[in-house]
Amino acid sequence: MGQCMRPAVVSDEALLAGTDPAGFEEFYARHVDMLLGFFSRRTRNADMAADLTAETFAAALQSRRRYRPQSGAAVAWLYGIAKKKLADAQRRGYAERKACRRLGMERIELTDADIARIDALGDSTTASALLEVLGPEQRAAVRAHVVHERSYADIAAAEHVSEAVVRKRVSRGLATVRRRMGGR
Amino acid sequence: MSKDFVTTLRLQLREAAEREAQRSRARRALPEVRLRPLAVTVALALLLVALVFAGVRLDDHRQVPTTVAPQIVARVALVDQGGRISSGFGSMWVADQAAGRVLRVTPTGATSAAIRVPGTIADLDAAEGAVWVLTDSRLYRIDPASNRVVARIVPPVPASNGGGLFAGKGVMWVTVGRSLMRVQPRTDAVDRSVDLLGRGGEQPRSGAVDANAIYVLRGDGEMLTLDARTGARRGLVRPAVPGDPLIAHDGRVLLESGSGVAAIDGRSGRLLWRTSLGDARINGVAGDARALWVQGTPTGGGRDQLWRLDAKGDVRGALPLPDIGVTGMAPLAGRVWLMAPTGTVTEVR
Repeated sequence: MGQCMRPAVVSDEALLAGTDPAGFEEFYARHVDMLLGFFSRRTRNADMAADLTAETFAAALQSRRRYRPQSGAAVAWLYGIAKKKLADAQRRGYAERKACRRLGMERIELTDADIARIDALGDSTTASALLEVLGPEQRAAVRAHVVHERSYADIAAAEHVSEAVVRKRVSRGLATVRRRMGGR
Repeated sequence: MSKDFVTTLRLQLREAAEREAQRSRARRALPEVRLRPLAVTVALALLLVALVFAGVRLDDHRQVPTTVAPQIVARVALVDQGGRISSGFGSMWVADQAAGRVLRVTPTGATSAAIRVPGTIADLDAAEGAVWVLTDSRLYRIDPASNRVVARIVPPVPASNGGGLFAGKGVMWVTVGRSLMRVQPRTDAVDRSVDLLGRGGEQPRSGAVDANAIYVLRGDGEMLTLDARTGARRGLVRPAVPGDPLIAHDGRVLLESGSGVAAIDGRSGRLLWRTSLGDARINGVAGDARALWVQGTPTGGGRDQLWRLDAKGDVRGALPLPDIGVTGMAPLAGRVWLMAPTGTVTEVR
């Protein structure tokens, strides 16, 4: 007899679209670091990044029953909320806590170690951080070709698409990443 | 690395999600109450009966020793981010997600080797003469004699959104979504794929494997049994109790069932035993010939628990755990290791 954890085959979309509290917890665990880094890079303020992360996940939890997998990737939906929360915070000068309050979630005071970690996530220029702005297909193609050094033919066979499609996804994905880094 | 903020927020969200789920259930129940006064009477009567039974069950549960037998013998911060673990070849094999490598750890907690594995690790398993590591794009084979990657296999369906890895009868199985792929250790190649989609197009929910069979719970609630070597279909049954398969051994399948676990006969679906663990959500299970370990979260709040069950499903002890959540569990030398999301391993005997 071996071990068996909760099956890892569940996609982000299934986790978010379900009603199981554990599913949302797993969705949170998968994306919390990326979201903290996203907010930290844009606000350069660990406290605000933490507040925005909490507010984004709280809002996502509240409205998860409205999410439909056929309308797009779960991570894109999450970043849609994140971008709206960020825009609101930049306009107001502080992060709203409406969704957190509605769910009875208290504000979390950050320790020095928390601040250091959030700052580090914001400073990170890892491929994952740079790829977060891409759609799922482009992100998967860029990751497979650039990070994992797989050939176009190899990726095309695995994804059941033509090589030309994979090349286009990689090319457009890299162009987006370059623009995000300030290049042309 | 501090995980305080991340862990605290996780706990807050967990509690909020539980409350939302309860509200949601209440909302769904409300229209029925309004429309059917008779149904309310019947429901109240049933509730009364249920409360009587619940009282009995709670009494039973109070008899369970809650802190005696299992004890924490060691805690080691091994990695920055917890992932899967698997025991084999006298060691524990630990996914080091943040650093993109697999650690080989001795039973005393010392790291004896670190093997680089690019990509996001979805699962790992020490079986069939090797350590197998499934990432989002490849399946890596590590030779435990040399601690080196000796094969890189590209599964036809990549585990971009996660996947599972199981040892069958002389073969390895990779599950990704609806696909079950067989890997031949002799050739390091994927030589068979099985589509697990249900009759009505439902995705498979979860599965477990023992030495002879693969048990897959389909979306329609029926459990499909496949031969662990060939993948050929062996049967289709409706389990006597609903629940996701957690682990299988010697023809018996352990399910997460209601507020506890249940064992069914894999061939007939017949209930063998059922054990209440209070009101808890099961996060992980590990076992060997000596004991079955179940990690869960009390849904009413409180610390995660670890229960030790015997082969008949009787609870032989319980232990409150210091960490929230578990990403990997595996038995080693009569003890069980639990990997927390924070990367700290707790060893319990």
